[in-house]
Amino acid sequence: MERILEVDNLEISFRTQLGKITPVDGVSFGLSRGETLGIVGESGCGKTITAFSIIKLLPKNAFLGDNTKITFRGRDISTLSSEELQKIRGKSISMVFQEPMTSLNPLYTIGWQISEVYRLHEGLDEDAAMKRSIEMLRLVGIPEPQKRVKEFPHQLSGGMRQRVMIAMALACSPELLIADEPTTALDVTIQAQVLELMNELKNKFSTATIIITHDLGVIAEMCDRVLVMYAGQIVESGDIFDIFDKPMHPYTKGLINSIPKIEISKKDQKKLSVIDGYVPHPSSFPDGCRFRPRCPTAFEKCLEKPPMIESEGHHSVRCWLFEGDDM
Amino acid sequence: MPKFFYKRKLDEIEEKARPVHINSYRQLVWTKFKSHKLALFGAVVLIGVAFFTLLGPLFVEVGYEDMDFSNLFSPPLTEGHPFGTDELGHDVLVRVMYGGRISLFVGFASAVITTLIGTIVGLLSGFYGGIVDRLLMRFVDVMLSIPMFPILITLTLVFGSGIMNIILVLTVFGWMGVSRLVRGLVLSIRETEYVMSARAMGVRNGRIILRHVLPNVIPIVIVSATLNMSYAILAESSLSYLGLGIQPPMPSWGNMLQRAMNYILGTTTGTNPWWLTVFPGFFIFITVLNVNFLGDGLRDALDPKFVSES
Repeated sequence: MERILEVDNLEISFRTQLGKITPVDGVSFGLSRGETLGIVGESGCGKTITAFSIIKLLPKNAFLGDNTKITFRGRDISTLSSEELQKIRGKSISMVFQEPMTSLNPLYTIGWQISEVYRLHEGLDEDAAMKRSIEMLRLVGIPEPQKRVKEFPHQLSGGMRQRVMIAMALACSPELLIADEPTTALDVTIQAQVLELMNELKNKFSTATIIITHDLGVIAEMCDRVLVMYAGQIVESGDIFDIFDKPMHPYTKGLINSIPKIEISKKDQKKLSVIDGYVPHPSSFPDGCRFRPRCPTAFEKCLEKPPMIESEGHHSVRCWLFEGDDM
Repeated sequence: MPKFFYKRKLDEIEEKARPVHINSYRQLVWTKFKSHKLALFGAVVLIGVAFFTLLGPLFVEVGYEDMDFSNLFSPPLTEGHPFGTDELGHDVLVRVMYGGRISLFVGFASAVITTLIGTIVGLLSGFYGGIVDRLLMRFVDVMLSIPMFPILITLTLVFGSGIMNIILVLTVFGWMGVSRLVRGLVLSIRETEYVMSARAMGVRNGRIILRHVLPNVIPIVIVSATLNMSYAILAESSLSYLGLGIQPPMPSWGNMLQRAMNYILGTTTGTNPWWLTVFPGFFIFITVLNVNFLGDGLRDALDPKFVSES
């Protein structure tokens, strides 16, 4: 498989009043054509800024580490001029945002907003761009697209708007789609529809996809490989079966155990297990293993920084419990 | 009843239930503006006032400087003077028409220019932030802290008083409010997800400012422009009061009012010439009021989310 994205040793720091903080460090991953990678973790783990750093959409006070290298189709992203970046954004790499309610400009019709992408990246005139937009809306399953293009975002439901966002993101058949919690703001039945749509389209265009979510259900539905992130680091990575069938890191186990199960009869009902505590703030990550304060199985060794330990296949974990297991 | 009857009925219902599809933003704005009764009223009145002041003088033979010495302080409806005359026998109707030209021009021109400058400064400051923002906003602070009247007096001493100087002064000291307002709005719009998403789509900064940020501040800017216009019309009259505005015998609504102040308690002959204040005052009042109606309607019409209750 052709590798299209390589993120090597990603380190993102911010200059703040508290001094320099580094919410993401040492994150490495790669992506091949047509592959889907899930990034999962609690809020505040650095998932979103990891994704934003790929298209350099970080806030002004953010900067990347010296050893960080992000390569998209063989080109180092950090060496690109802002014009070259603008050509990549929306054409080769595009994004779907979390909030469909606010991701569309309230003042323009959805047709205008989708055709803006065509006008920018393919130089189409208004009519041709509008025609392509209607096609795209049909593709994402919006009924009567030729009428819908003339509507404003507030006239559409949340699910519809997310479909419009997906249509915009896929308008120029990008090689990489980054979906930042694409279904978080939608209700369950609409979630299922949107996920199905994304699956269908990504197979059709063989788009490589990064899905950022805190919903393991979404990961199970969509992904080939999973990165579990905690406090700015990858704590476990592997293919989807490894993660769900043989979770290794205590954090991954905790996440999986905290999925609510639907049980009606009283005897099957168990108290939902939760991971105690909160994700630490980037200015005060604990020494050694960052999960240590919340870990049910922590021991003395955890005061030292755990390395990424390779288990069988591509399954690896950042935890001392597995030291020497399969090495 | 035959089946087709139901079929037709169904078609009819469906036809009614189908949402109205509007072809373009411009059309939507116009449709909504038309349904805003007050704004429409405001527009009609303002057009009326404009015609009155622009075309009115063509239909009367008397100029604003012509004096009728046989009729000093004559009340309205005196022969030949429907609005009465003032202390020098000037016809009030004629002076209201000529004065309106000046007041409307000063108000409109300074409202447009202050809004333009304020919007540009606010957009740049809010969107780029950082050093640009700090420099521009400190400049705004400096401008706000300069006392306007001493500068005015100096300027009129140097350049003389005239319409252009008044507009210049009102704009130089009038744009800061708009720029602060716009900056505040832009700061919040800049962080919205649709601006983020436009960036992620590869839209250039300039285009983001013009196509995504600016249209979202325009409804508010329009309201503040109408307020600025009212302010400028009134400010011109207070400048006249200091002898810095439009100088008699050239009339403006402001200086007519100001001169009428001398007789507000009555003249030496015992009459109280109320018509000297009521007519220019009434025109200032309806102009300012209707400009505000119009601005309100424009704001509602420009916001696609806004659905009027009527």
